[in-house]
Amino acid sequence: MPDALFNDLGWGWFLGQEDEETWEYFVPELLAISKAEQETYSQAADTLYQMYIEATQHVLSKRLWEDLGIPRNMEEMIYQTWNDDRHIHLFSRFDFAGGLEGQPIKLIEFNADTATVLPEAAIIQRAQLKFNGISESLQFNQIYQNLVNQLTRLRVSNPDLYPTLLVTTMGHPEDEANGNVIGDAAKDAGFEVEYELLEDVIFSEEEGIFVEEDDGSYTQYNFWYKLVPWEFIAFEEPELMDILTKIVRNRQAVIVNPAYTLLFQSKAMMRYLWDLHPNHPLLLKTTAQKPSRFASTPYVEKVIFGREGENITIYNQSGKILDVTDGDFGRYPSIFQEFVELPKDSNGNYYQPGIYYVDGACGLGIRRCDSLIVDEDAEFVGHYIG
Amino acid sequence: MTPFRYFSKFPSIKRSLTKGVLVCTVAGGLGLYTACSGGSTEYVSETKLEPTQGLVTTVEEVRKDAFKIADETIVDKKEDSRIIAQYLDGEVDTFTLDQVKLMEKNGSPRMSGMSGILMGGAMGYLMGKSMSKPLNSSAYKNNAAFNKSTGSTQKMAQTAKKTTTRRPARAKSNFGSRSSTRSFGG
Repeated sequence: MPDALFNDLGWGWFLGQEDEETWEYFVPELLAISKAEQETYSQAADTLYQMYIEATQHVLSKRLWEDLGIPRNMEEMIYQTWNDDRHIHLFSRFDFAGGLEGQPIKLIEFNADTATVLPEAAIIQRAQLKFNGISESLQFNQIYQNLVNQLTRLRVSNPDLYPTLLVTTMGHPEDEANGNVIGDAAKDAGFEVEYELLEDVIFSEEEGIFVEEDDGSYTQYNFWYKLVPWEFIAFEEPELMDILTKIVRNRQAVIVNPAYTLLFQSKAMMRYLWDLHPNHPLLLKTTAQKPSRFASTPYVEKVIFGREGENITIYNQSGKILDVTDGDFGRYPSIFQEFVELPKDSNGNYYQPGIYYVDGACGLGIRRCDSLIVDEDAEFVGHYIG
Repeated sequence: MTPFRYFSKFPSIKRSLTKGVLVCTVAGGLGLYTACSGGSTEYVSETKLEPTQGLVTTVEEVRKDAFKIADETIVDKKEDSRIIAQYLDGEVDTFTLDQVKLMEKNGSPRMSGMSGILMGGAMGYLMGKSMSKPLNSSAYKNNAAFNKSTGSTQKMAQTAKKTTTRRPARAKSNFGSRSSTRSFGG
């Protein structure tokens, strides 16, 4: 696709123009996947989502959720949103290893609270097909339409609230681009939509969520989409956590994604999935204990609330470090997971498929990188079914 | 002195304040101007409602250049709003809100006598009329049409965007401002 098209779409920053390097985030080729591979991915995501629901029920009924690293100040809101169907899980992404060329699919992690890479997966890879004269039906990509449908469900399920949605990020341009996709889908779903940085949003424990307008008046928003992780709010801004708990309790706003998605998001949940479904073909062995358990297999140490490939260490079978990343999340506890290598091409590039889940599996986004750990330097590879 | 204070949110009725004995009552329905008096201070505040839903309004030409609203039905989106005009000569025209506004500005024989009637109905709320103003029953063809629109107006108020001229109580902001700018996606 020509650069001009990206600029027209307002996504010129994808091209890395600020750097002198001709860095290309979008790999200028498309990966072919088969219809059978698409269906296998789809079934894997649908199966895992049900397993997450069961495991969450297990964790909550046994009140094990503190083992997931979730602070006490989230307890009320997690129970409240879990027990009230009006708090709809909007969207998420399963990150897998395998699924290509006959390799088995294995769950690496579940981005349930703040999944991103949405503009790339939902919109740009579709535009790539269009630009190359390939039918848009030849892609596993109903992400945008499912978002519109799910947001419509959210609106209709909450008829007592004004359908006004505030989209909030903490200002990173990539996050804003992701928030814009949600905003566009929400408009198509019948919401009035506005955007505001977290620091400028006004929270009133008595009255709800507001934005101050230029004329000095205050507009109330009854739905809040936050590309701000729940664990950030709970740990870094506990006062905000308390205010939001009251706002949700009093039905002054519905927050997307709901608080219970932090249970899904916690990598420690994969340990319970393994406990409840030992040796399940979609799972990698995961424990909270130290690596001696893995005996002769390589394994990965991950922090439970890490993101973008940060704070990950890969060990070989004798416990020597194969690869390691540092990052901002080292303060969280770790889990240990059996290591599985990602599919690799002849140039040494690894491919990591992500399946978007919006009321069902609905799209594929593939990232590519030249290291064992997929991080923020990973590229995006579009695909077509062929 | 705080110029504006507001003690109730639509459509709740009563709130007692801790400072002194001060009770403020807000009329129900769409009367959104509130005035409270406590001690020697008079507080006034305004809440505006802006519809988020749309309407399809059917108007009938009852005699030359005189129209009445025969039906108003809510639609999900404002941009799907339409005005269907049924003329005495049997013709039917369908206009969008933008077309109506444009024709109103430029003057159009197809619109003659229609805009005043539209403003008297619920469609008026989409054309800039305050939602605190009631419907005009004489804009309607009959009681059934008027009663239906009265119900629709209440539904539109429930889903309207709400703006107040007063800072929300115990408002806090500036959360997250200490953190560095990084992506919080995954």
